[in-house]
Order: sequence, then C-alpha cells, then structure tokens
Amino acid sequence: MNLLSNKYLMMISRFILGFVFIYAGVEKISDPDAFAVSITNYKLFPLFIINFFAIVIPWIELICGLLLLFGFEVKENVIILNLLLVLFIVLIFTALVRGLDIDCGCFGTSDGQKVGILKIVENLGLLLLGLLIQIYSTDMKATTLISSK
Amino acid sequence: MMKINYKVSMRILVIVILIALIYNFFSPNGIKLIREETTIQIIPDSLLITSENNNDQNRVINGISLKHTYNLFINKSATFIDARDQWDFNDGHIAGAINIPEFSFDATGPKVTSLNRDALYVIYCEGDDCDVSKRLAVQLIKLNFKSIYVFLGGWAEWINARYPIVKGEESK
Repeated sequence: MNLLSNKYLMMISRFILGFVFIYAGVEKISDPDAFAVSITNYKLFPLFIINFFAIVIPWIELICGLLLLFGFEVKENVIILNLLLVLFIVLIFTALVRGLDIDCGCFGTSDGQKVGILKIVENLGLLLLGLLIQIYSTDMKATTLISSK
Repeated sequence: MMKINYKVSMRILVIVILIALIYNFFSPNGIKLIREETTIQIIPDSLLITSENNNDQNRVINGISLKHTYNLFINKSATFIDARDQWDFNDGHIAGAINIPEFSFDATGPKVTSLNRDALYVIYCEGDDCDVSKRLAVQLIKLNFKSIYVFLGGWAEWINARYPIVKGEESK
C-alpha cells in the first residue's frame, strides 16, 4: 500500500500516461479524416457518429493528458482516460475476434500499427498505470482549475 | 483514498468537446460533423464510357459491370488498376493492369504522380464484397482524377469469365 501510493511512483505513472496520451492526441488532431477512416474500419459504429468521435477523442486525449501531466484534477482526469483505455481494449479485442486486419489508429496512421495482441497488452499496461493513479493518487487538493462549487 | 468528483470529470469532458468542435470548425484540416457515405452509382451497359465522363461528386463512385469492363479492355481505352496487395497481384491479375495497393496508398508516390489524371481508369479488387477498389477510387477522385470507374465484380468475376489474365510481377 505504501509502496503503491509512493509519490514518486505516482509522478512517474502520471508522466508516462500523460505523455502517451498527449502524443496520441496530437498525432490524430493533425489528420482527423485519417482517424475517421481508422474508426470506420472497425465496422462497429454508425456512420453519423464516426466524425464526431474522430473530432473529439484526440482532444480528450490531449487535454486530459496535459492536465494529468501538470497534476490538475488528477483523479477526475484519469478516470476519463481509463474509460477510454477500456473502450480501446474492447475495440481491438472485437476486431481481433472478427479477424479484421486493420490499422488500429492508435497513434494516428503515420506509424501504421496493426491491431494485435501486442496492442491489447500495451493498453492493459497503460490501464494498470491509470488505475494505480485513480486509486492511490492523493494530490487532490492541488489546483482547482475547474472545481465544482 | 479520496472520492472522485464525477461532476468535475463531466465538466472537463464538456469543455474538451467544445474546444474540439471549435478547433475543428476553424482548422483547415477540419472534417464535417456528419460523415458522408460513399454511394455507388451503377453505369448502365448501354452508356458509352469515354475519358470525357467526369466524376462530378466526391462521394459518388461509378460502378461498371463485367460486360462494360470487358469492352473497355478490348478497346484498350482504359488503364486497369488492381487495388489488392502485391502478392494477390502476382498470383494473377487482369492483363495489362497496374498494381496500386490501397493499403499502402501514397498520394505523393511516383506511381500515383506518374499517372495521367485525364485518362480513363478502371479499378478492381478481389470480388464484389471487397472495399479496397472503392476506397482507392475515392482517394484518386480526391486527387482530381477525372474518370475513375470501379469494376464491381472484380477479379473473381473476371477469372470466372475466363478473360485474359497475367501472372507475375508488374511489367515496368
């Protein structure tokens, strides 16, 4: 318990998760159309919602990643990112089960990473860090950028 | 362990969504809020296809039948593009076709830039339920190619009809 809530471990986890999401967000913001095609390839969502996801998800990744990095509302942010990670894992898993050989769209399309077991492991690793922060992070008081009254 | 204030999470989400929508509205790379479906318009066999027939809408693809495709093949009036990957292509393709795999499509690559945008092209893939020929068509239409047609029956229908094929790599 003490080890898990260690503030350095917390900080490192926040940095890793924050940077990964910032990178992923920036890559996708620069080319929303390519990301929309990636989402379409999963063949799961109705057409009308795809562009909305393609516009919004990268920004959630970027801004929540930044807030996490700087320690604003850590728990409130990390729960959003954890939900995203769960969504990604489910999506990649269903794509694998259906035998889709597609680009995962994880970090934009520039690196062309395909869906696969490795991607699920990667996301599970990130989710582990996220849960660690969600459960053990204590620096709640820090800054109240968007605090509820 | 402190409780999570879900109201704050929701507030963050709403603000982020607003930022995303506003950014998308002003960004040169912005996309439409609602995605448009690509529709396929079947060209009747009686209509004569020349390189004068232009694709006037971005999301409409002209689809043609085996008969139409074979006429274009015999008249040598169209260039055939195989949108499958190079291994499928090497296993056999329509005689004279060039290979532009949709998966690794590069709009700035030498293969695409060397093509004449005013010429007539017929794209095909494995059969009637593959998407890559249609996706490649959309990409080429975006690059201002004037006459792009998709042979809907694809490779399966072509070999079934025992029309001319070639095996091996693309002739340079």
